[in-house]
Amino acid sequence: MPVYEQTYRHYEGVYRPRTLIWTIIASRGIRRVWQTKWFKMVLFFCLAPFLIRAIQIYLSVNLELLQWMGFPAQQVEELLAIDDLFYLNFLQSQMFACFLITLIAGADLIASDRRTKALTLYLSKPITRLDYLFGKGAVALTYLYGVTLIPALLLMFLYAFFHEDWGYFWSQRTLFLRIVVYAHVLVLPMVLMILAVSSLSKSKVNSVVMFCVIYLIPLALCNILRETLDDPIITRFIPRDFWSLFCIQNIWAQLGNTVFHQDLPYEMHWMWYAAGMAVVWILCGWVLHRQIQAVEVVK
Amino acid sequence: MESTSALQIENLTVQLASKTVLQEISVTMPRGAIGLLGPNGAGKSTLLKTVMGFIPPVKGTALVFGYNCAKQGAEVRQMIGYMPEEDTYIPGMSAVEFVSYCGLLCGLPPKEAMLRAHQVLHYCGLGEARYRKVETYSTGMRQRIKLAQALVHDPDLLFLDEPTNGLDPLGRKAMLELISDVAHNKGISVILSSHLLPDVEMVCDHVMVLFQGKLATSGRIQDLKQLAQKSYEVRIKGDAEPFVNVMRERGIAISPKRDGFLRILLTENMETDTLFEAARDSGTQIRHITREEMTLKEVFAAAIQSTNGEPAPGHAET
Repeated sequence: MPVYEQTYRHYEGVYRPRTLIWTIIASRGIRRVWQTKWFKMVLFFCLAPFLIRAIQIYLSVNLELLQWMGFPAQQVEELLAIDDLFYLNFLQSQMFACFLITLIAGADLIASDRRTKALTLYLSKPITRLDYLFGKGAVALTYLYGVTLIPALLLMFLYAFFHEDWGYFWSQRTLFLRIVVYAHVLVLPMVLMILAVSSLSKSKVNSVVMFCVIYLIPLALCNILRETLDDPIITRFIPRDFWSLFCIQNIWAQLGNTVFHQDLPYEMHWMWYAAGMAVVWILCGWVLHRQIQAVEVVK
Repeated sequence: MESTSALQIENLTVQLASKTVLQEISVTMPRGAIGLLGPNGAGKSTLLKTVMGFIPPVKGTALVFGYNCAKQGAEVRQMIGYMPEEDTYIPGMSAVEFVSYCGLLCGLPPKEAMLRAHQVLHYCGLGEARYRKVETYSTGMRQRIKLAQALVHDPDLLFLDEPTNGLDPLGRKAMLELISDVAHNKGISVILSSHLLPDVEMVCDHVMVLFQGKLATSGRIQDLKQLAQKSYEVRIKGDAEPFVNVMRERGIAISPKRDGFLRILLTENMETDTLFEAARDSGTQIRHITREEMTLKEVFAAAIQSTNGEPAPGHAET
């Protein structure tokens, strides 16, 4: 019977497992962001550092080409060293890209649902708040992976490809783990912060402004405090680097150098920075717990 | 965990912002069409949202087809289709995309979700408009979409919160006919929350009346209309005055109606023999006697009054 002649019929089929429901939310969100104006252009811009690093890897295999062009051999070799620092620098250089992608992909994730009261609809279905948050978070996470973890692993692949060294992944398995860990240290707090900020607003513009404020203002304040309170009397009680704990970018820098076994930018132990990261997670989790409700209680 | 009752609530108490919104509500409602009546602020929407699992109760339990709403929220919501009171939609989608998306969220496979979206939208009277963005819809069309997304996953129970909000008289009639068809011909139980008595009377067989967070009365509408006060419409042959005087002497309430009829209110322990005795003693003849039904409005008003002071008059067995 054609659809247009059918009246209401009961459903006799099976239902999919509830564990997969968050993927429905995620896939819809990913498609919606992909269709956003300017997004593809921003994504391409954010992948420019990857292209530059890929060229760097290519040149590292073809040093004689640079020597032929007149560059000194030793300096070129030092400049084009493909080591742990190379990958750390790449990931840290992607912080601004992460900031942009997070703003575009994440600012309206929950704000739009609050604006149209769709939260009630979502939570009236057989999904939990965690399913909802996983689904929404996966949207931002997918694109953030696309500018951090995936390009970093692609660089490893390119190195193996150009050097024809397919044992590279096994011999550098600790590097592989470090890249995975640090990429998550970068992107997961970004996702949590943008979800928390988006849940506090019904407007995309307000979410963008709030995220910029919490991302940029602490950085400026920390630098100001570090410089202005750099007095021997004060530093006897409060270390100069203490103020760096209140800025996510400094936390990333310290933890990144710890993960990649590089010289640490700050003197305080990395555990303090891990604790600072944990505080960010807890705060965001608390905001989301309060905001993601099917019912808005007006006090 | 099948149960014959659609809804079983025991001692349910709900607080919002430190205010008790629902107070020790206990009721059992069978499958079918159930009206949830009450003035604005009575707690109707709060009750629905508590059963949906949106608001945790402070005390008591609520079971939907035997499933505990607080502990088995996902199972309960799988069986329930919810049509919220507020204007709510997911932006950037056409009606068919929106309803299909809701079907996917309820666990329907993708092809089935799209097929059922078309079916329920056609059933709800949205023809070609289903391909337009939801943001462009009128109020009436949005109400239909809300009903369609509640039906797409074939629930066992529909919660409809003020489904005729914002509709013109024709739209209201069409919506109520649709709901009545769902409840009586499609085997889906319906809980219709409304402050409009005619809506409930048109669609529902059972009713729960809430007032200031308490259960004022509940039961089959037909039974509630015939309870407590026995009201009779009587016509006397010839002059009715002697009959009226005798009735008043015996302390029975009697008042004239139009066209020569009289309304007589007998108390619970009185029977129609009282009328015939009065007629015999006054030398008059009763030519017509009919038991009057209370209207739902009168049931509602009586229930509200009794919640304020006296025991509720109507807790009919269901």
